[in-house]
Amino acid sequence: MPVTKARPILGDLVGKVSGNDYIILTKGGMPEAAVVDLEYLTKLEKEIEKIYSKTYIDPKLLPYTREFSDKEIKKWLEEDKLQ
Amino acid sequence: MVGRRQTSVSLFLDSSILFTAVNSPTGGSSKLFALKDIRLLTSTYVLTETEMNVRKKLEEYHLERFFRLVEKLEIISSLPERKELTKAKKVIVEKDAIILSQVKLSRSKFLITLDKKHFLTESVEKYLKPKKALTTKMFFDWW
Repeated sequence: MPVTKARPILGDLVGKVSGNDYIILTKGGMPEAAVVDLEYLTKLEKEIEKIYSKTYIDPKLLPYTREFSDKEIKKWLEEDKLQ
Repeated sequence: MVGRRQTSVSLFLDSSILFTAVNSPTGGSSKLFALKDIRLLTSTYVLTETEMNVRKKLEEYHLERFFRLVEKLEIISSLPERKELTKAKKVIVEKDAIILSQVKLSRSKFLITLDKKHFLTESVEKYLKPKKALTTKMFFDWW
């Protein structure tokens, strides 16, 4: 929904978002912001925090690892196709 | 073909497989995780390398998928002894020697990899014997 249309009815929009539903506000046709249920946002933030605090990285092994190149990542995707 | 189908097979997955399974849910690497009667093994080294690259190269949701896939893996935490590592270094580049020697010491039947250049060579084949290194395509042909 364009921001210009949303501005006068912002109060109504806030009442409409609940749970996983949210409204994306656009500016010049491009997504710019969203009206999101605060509980849902908090839940998302917690989930992201949980994901990022979890890790299988062993710092002792990091020096022996290497960064994959974009070329080899693309090559692997090709090689992985079964048909 | 490589061999006869068996009901319980152990596969050691290298970093290229785990990374590609995270990157694409439709390829052979992902399909491995849906197979029944199969044990999927990997090592803490593979997990470290893959997670580091997932964080650097892919999107946030891929990291979540990485964690979900890892839950289906048996993880080998011990590192190979220097003697075995030295042997592996003679047949493969140093960075891949850890994985290769871990495969050799593991109970896996196959090493599954997409890195044909380094792992699918005659010298690696001799070193791994009787285990074999296969790509996902080669494995599914056998399966």
